[in-house]
Amino acid sequence: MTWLVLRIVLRAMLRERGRVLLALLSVALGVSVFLSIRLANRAAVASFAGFAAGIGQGSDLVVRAEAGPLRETALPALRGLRDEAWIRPVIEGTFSRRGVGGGAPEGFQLLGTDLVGLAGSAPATAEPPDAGSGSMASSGEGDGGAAGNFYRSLQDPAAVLVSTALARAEGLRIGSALSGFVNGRPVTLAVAGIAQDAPNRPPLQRNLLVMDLPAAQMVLGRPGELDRVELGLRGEASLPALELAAAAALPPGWVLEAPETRASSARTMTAAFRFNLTILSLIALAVGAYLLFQAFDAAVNRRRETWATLRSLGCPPRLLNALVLLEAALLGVAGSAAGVLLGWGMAQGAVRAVSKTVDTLYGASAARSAQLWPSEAALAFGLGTLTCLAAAWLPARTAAATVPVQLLARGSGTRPARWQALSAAGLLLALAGAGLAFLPVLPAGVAWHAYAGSGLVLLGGSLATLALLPLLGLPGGRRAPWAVRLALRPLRRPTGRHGFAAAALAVAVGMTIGMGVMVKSFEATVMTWIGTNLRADLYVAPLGSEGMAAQHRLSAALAESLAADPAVLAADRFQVVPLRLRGAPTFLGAADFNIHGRHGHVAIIEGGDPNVLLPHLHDLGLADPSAIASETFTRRFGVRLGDALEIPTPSGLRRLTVRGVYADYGNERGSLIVDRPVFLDWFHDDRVASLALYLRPGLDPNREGKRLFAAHPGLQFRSNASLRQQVTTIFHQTFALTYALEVIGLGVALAGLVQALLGLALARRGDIWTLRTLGAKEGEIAAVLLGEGLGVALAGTLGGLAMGVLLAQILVRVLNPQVFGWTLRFALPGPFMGLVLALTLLAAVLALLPAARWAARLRADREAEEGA
Amino acid sequence: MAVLLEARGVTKRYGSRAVLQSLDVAIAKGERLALLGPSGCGKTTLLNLLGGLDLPDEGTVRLEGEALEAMTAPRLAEVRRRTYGTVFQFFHLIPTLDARENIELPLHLLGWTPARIQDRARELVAAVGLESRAAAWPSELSGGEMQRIAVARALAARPAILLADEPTGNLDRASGEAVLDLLARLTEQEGTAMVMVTHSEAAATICHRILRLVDGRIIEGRTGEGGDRP
Repeated sequence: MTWLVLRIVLRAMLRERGRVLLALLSVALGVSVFLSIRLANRAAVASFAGFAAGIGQGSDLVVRAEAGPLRETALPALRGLRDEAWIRPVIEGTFSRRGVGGGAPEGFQLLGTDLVGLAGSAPATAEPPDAGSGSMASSGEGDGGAAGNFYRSLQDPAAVLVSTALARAEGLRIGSALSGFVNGRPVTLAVAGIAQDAPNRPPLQRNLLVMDLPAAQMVLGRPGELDRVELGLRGEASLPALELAAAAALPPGWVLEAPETRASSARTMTAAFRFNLTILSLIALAVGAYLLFQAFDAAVNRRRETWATLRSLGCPPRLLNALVLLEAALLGVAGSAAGVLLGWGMAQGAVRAVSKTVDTLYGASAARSAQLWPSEAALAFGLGTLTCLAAAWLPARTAAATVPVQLLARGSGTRPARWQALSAAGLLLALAGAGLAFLPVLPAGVAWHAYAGSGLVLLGGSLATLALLPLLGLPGGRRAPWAVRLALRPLRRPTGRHGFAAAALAVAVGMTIGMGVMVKSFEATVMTWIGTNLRADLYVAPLGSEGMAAQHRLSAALAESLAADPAVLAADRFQVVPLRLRGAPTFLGAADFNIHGRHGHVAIIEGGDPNVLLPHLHDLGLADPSAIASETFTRRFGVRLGDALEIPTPSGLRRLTVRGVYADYGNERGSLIVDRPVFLDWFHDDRVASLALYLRPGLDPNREGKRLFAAHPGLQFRSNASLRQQVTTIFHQTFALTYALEVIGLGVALAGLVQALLGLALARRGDIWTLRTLGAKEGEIAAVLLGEGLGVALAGTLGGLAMGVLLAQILVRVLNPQVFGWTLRFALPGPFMGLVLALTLLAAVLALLPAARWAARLRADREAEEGA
Repeated sequence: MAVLLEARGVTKRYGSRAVLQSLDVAIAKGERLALLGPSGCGKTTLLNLLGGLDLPDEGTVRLEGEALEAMTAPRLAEVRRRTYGTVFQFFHLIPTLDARENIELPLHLLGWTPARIQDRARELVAAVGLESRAAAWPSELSGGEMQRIAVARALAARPAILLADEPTGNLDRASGEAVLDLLARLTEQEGTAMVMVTHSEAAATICHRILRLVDGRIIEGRTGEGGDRP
């Protein structure tokens, strides 16, 4: 066996270095794309839940309020748990700074907790989980700051602990000042300590600021409030016992969660984005598998006579099978190892793109670099090796099935594919997939049928593409010029190579078109929605505030002073709080319905004219509390117009009626909006998240914005036009990585096309040699091969185009509404599709041309020349 | 005797091994020459050099006085179109062209008019006795039929010289004899010179002259049974 392996497998690999290198590259590229996206996703999601891992040992349970903040005064209710668990109260907020040189504002997560307790000395309401962890212990970093100084410095209400990364990046030392804004107010914090990164733990995020609890409450303007209380098991205590004890001790309106809930909420938040990326990375791997299959198929075909000879010498088929699979395993292991390294490198770039989007979309501060997760690396490595083995499976069986009589066969070695049966089966599969995806009534959130349907459409569509090949071969009839005949005739009876190349390209083009049409539909819908919704002249929010999840708030007084400005005709105050309804996170917003109804506009889908509906809801007031629900909310919670809901509030459960449904593409959790007076009565929170200002007629929004900004430097004022521009920019930024991945997918498919052409040329080297002996010029032979390759490319592109439109229908009409609750207007972008078609064919010409020229210079097989 | 094709002092090496060693050979117009010898003696290499498909390491190959090695690639292709026809052991018909189209192919390369091409193809199909098989695909033809089509294709453009590489090497005896008859008859009719590589003494007899090659050298030259040399 070793003898055979050395001579048959390794020697062949050494002799066919080009083929081996191409196969290695295919594996490495597929693995690297997959891994880099996974690592980037990990980094982005990890940043949401970075605190628990960052500040010490993670908690075992977390206590939250169903709605609004926890009241610190109720904390003693948990005192009875102290024997079983340490207790850590936490408040969170955001500290923002203006960007350097007028750039984008920089946001920091401001965390308030009991630092004294955390560091392990004199616990008051809390005790540290692991006093020796040292992760939050003060480090002098050359300042000679001893622990005693640290604790003394904590008495300073502006004292803040910064990460080593931030201290190093900005040269911060103990006593350094950190100036910025909290909730629009200017704030200066004093560095009281620099947190050292603990060994064997992820390093602290650069943008994490930690303060002592009372100081953080003061800075955030939320005295007596907490966002959560973390509980950690002591010694031998058991989690079920703690859960029982905690549940019994919790005051009304407080709920117990497993700590991972927050991270999973974060995962839900980015689900749409991550889904998008993961699918695309898998496509790169799938197209890479096509490429590998071609490589192995070509390698097995080239060595047909070796297999036949081995069989005639008594070698069992199982051994031949094993030899091919062994070669695949060697390539898989080497290529995957290279892919893991390459992927880690690529992840550094990808994570920047992903984190930028996460920052923008979700108001969270994401990581800026990706670490190499061993589990992810192992997954990518295993997947790459398995893909390689799977791709070699069929060629290995072919090698094993080679009969000795093939020694006498001197043909091209390519057999026509059973394209009629395959394409008919493909068409049926694609139609079945579409039928499955469009299954009528299924509960919201259920999308397995759409995913399975999309998969079937991709598989079936790629097979159905085979039917285009014979059609494209039709122009090669008897009346066609000889070069056209020679180029297109092979397509009339396509071989497996033709079929695989066309199918791979069809998958890549189909995905590109599908995603492209979805993005364009999304864009068209969102732009129309923005055009309808954004009516105010100026939008005001605290610096760094983006999205519903942002924690910045304006004080009521500040909002009032802005509303009272002489230039302002009306001001619509918007506030939002996170809410847990039926155990799931969502948002409750509050708007001035009366003002919104008169001046603004909201895209109401159900419930009538917003200019009538909203003032009506305002008039109903507290007597009959009413809300409008986002479309996402109605789908997530199965709510219909007229349904009554029990809403948890700090003042207990309150009942409201849903009287309108509005379109909202801002978040995936859904939201309810009530009139502001109702919210104030229920939540006793008069702060404002953002403010829409309607200016008096004739005033210039830009000039007024600048004037107001001069008076309030901690706020950002965006004119209607600039906000629209910003939304457009965010939109394109969000999908930038998507486009990049699509390009990679197309690139891999085109590489497959080139490989297929080379395989076809190698198989047709006898024909090429004949043409040369007949006096055909190199350019003429190259043109023939190029024509054949372009025929395959055209079939793949056209098949992909049709498949992409069908896929887009599923994405737009089923997946988006079903999973994310977003109804999109299907928009078929003709110019975009034309561009994809043209660019793919142009790229195919550019990729095929050198391959065709190389192939045109091929010599005949040695045995053909020598007469064997 | 007018010399059509001449190789003078040609040496060809593959690595350090000399396949042909300082070899001289000349072919007259209309002459049929057989290169006889065991496998690996350099027959096919010599044929490739004579056809301009390969270049000698030393020496020269001249076609009507013009050195092939001095020609540019397009000129060589042009010469192959107009002057050479080739028949292979494994036929090498283009599988995606039917029998008639395979015969027509060199004429298309020469840019003949469709009417001329059809006339010539019809004439050749009749000459090789395959009128009923003209529309068949190569995969539907027997070995003998394929080689007859290949002979017709090689002679389609009325080349001055036909290079035949073991034309009967992959055929049964009866088919082989039929192909040899055809080669002799058609080259005679068309006045085409032929260089045939073979290891079959019997096949070589249709030629005017027979050269025996061993280890890249001509060790014997004798007259064949192909009748009087032109």
